[in-house]
Amino acid sequence: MTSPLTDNEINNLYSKRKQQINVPEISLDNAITEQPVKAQPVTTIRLKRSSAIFFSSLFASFAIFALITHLLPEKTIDKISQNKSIKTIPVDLKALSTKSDEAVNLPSPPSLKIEAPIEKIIPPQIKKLPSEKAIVPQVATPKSYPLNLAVTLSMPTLSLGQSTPPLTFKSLPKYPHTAAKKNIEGKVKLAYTITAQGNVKDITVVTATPAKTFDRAAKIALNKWKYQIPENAADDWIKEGNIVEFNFKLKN
Amino acid sequence: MKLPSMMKGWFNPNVKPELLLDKYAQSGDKKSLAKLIEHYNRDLFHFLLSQSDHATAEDCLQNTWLKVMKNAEQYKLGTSVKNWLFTIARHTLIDELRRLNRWHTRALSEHDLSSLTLSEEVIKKDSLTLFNHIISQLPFYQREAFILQQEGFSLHEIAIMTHEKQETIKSRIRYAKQNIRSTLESKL
Repeated sequence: MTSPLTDNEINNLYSKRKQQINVPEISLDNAITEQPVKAQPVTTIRLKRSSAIFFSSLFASFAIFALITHLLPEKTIDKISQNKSIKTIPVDLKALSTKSDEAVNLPSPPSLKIEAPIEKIIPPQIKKLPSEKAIVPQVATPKSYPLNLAVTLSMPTLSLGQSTPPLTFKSLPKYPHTAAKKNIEGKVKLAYTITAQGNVKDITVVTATPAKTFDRAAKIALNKWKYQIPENAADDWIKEGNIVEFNFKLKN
Repeated sequence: MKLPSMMKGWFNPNVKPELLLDKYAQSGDKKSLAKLIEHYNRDLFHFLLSQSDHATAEDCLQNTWLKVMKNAEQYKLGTSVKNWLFTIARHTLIDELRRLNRWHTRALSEHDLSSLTLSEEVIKKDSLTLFNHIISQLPFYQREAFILQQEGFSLHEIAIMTHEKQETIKSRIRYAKQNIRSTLESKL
């Protein structure tokens, strides 16, 4: 604790850190060809400064403000230009993306390209990373999605042992989102015990295809089931070895 | 600093991001969008990168701008563009992390990482590297609050953006800074 760090120093470190990173370029299809965008702020500021000096001969107080406003941002830009990873030289954007070997710590990014038809707002023609392709249809219809599932879930087929007390409450499992997204269907067979209170306990998975995908959802649902227990049943009455199978199916 | 930055836009209306986005929303002018991207790409990417890894950050950055293109007309003139963009980026990131099942997975491993290990000697040399290291060790929410504050958002704005109370944000920032300070001072 020799010299306490001031907020300024933290701010400094923060801005240095920011300059250090290599930003992937977002290039709009043939949108930026005519003007090297990197050079944009510098040129506009230069222009503005000369105009501000001109004004200062006319309106002194007014121009002082103008100078302050325009010298301030320029200073920060000078600082930036001393830094390695930012280039203020007007280079073609595509040339820049190939020269990423100056990156300090972080791996060099591939130059991303979005070929988005900007006039139309619908995104289907967008060339994207393969991982995103899978999600796109779901993103398009987020609201109808869960509804679909509720309908398409097939009724559990009950294959119960003899003289099982009547069910008074039955709930169906929720279709797990991750499985639905990946279009996974499957079955879970559960064994369980009915207690004297009519509850379900000791749920174990007998078979599950695919493994572990639907276990949790099925268990949660089964745990809510209620049975009507015969009135003359003893307190320690239990019925073991009940089996139920849940079929998880998507409609389409 | 507030006044000059406000006046900057007043001198050259083309530079003001609010107007750029509005122009893009009205006319679909690609150049305004390109300028807007140029203006905020680094800020957004830095935020995303700090909160995730490189690949995820790139994905999110791309998705963020796609969302901006798609929803540009929903932007209301008079509100801050930067605020809007960061909100979109944040939501995109959280969605993506949830999709990858990595939402809040870091929280578990934070405890054992709090001390510097073998690389300590290397890290010691450079305060910037150390700073980066500390930032990467901060808990998710502290880092978020800290970065957003460094980006110039007020406590109130951050609170709205993250759906938290202002006091919560305040203390997150305080803890983040405390962490940074104590580690930096003890190592340098």
